[in-house]
Amino acid sequence: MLFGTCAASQLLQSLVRTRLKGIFTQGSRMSLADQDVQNIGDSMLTAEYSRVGDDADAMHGMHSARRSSHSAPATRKERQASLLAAATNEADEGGLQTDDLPSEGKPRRRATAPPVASWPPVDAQSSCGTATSSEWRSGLRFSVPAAEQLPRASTPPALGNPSLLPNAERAGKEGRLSSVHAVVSKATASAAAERASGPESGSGAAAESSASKAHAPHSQQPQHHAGPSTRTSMPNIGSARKDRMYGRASVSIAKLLTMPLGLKIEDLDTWDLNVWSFQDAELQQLAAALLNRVGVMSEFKISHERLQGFLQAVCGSYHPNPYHNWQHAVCVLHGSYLMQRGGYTQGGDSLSYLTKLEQLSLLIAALGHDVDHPGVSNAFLVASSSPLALCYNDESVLENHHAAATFGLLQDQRLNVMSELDPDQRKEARRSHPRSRKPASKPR
Amino acid sequence: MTALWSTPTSAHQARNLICKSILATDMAHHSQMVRELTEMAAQQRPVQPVAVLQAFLHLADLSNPVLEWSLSRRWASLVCAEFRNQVSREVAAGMPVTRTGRTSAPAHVMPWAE
Repeated sequence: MLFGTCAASQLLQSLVRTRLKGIFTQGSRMSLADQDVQNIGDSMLTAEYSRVGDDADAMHGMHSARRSSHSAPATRKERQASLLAAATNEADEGGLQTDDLPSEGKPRRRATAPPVASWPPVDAQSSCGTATSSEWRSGLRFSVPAAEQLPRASTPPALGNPSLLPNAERAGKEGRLSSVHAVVSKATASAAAERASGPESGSGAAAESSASKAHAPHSQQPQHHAGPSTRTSMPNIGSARKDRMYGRASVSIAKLLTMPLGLKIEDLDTWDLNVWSFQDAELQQLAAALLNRVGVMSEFKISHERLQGFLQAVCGSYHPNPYHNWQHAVCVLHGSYLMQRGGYTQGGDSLSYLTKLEQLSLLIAALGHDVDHPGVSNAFLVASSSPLALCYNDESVLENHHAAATFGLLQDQRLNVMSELDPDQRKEARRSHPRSRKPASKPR
Repeated sequence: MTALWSTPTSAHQARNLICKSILATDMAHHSQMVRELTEMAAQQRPVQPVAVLQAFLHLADLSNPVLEWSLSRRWASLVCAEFRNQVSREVAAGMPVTRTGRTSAPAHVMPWAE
């Protein structure tokens, strides 16, 4: 009986394997092309990552230094630190968000996942860039931010609310909940005391002003960490500021609807926009500018606070993957924007066929379409029996997760940019439909 | 879900559109979507808005090859880097190397490579 069960399961496994193989290897021509592709990619990468520094920036007009730090393998010591952090955080990470909306200001209770001992299949010893096993685990939960993780969503950041100063316990919790930089939590315990006692300059204005210093990827001054260095420079973790606990930069509400430095609003209407020339906070500005330009912000009364919180949360929910990162999201947002407005037009008028509601849906979908991407494909998740694959029954695992994670973020009322889509609004949204619009009835 | 989504408001509608758009970015649906879009273009029949949204998002997701060469090259090299990370994970874990990472996506990101 037991033998029969084993044989059956083995048969099943081999069946699944052959099915996967049949799907994913389609002829020898493709595999030859793969080799080419990989060789090309290899050579390009080595060429690009070997030129780290300002001359590379000047050569490409891009932040090569910033990218290169993503792929630079962590030292053994850092890996051990991350492993330790992962071990201490295991109880908090993973699993679905099952509880309902919490009361305002109260931290969400995070449902603990069933322990997944056999996944991820690779420990941190693998040379996989900076993605450590702690990040892997963090990728398994929905990116619903804890209430204390987003203090700026509820308070104007320029005020620098002193009640939000992280004490040691809170800082430790934030570090644990940080979806991307779980490594930080290791340093939290030692750094919490000095951070709590030190001058708290983590107001959004300070963060934004440092972030707005464009094209200065490696500032020497310690307070300039809101920009690209939030993702980089492991040795600086000890001096982490508050906004680094979230792993991302943020932009103040006052600056949210202004354009990043050196960019005109017309520049948004071409395909030549180089998302690599901007830092995370500037990309948030860019996303806000795109939403604003489409006109959905006034149409749906999206408050600046909500938009800022939402963009910050989405930005923070993207992993520092080589490809599926926040830059990719903004790139896709920009592409969607260009396509929904009918391509590049000189007049600036939208030629859009879509309603305002559909435009908003498209842009939010573009922002969240790869949120919390773990950096591996669906096939990998399925083949390794990851919790995500189990959760979504091997069907479009990542895509399901992206959609769910996006709406996980939107569950927080402080981030819900669609909260004003009530029935009254619906009438107006319908009225603004270009296919059924009455010429006389102008919404608002 | 809360009452926000329980009635068919426009928020419900938006949620539906967003979910369907994101789900349509799965590369498994790529060939089918291309086929349907080709049919739509050939027949000139009216298109559902949700199909338009799905197509827009999917096209934007794969829009790297239309970018300027330096940008396009950068994205392509980065996607290769991510796939190599995956392969090294698979090798380290003793898993069979799933080839989808190296076949499907670079073929779309770098169509000239074939």
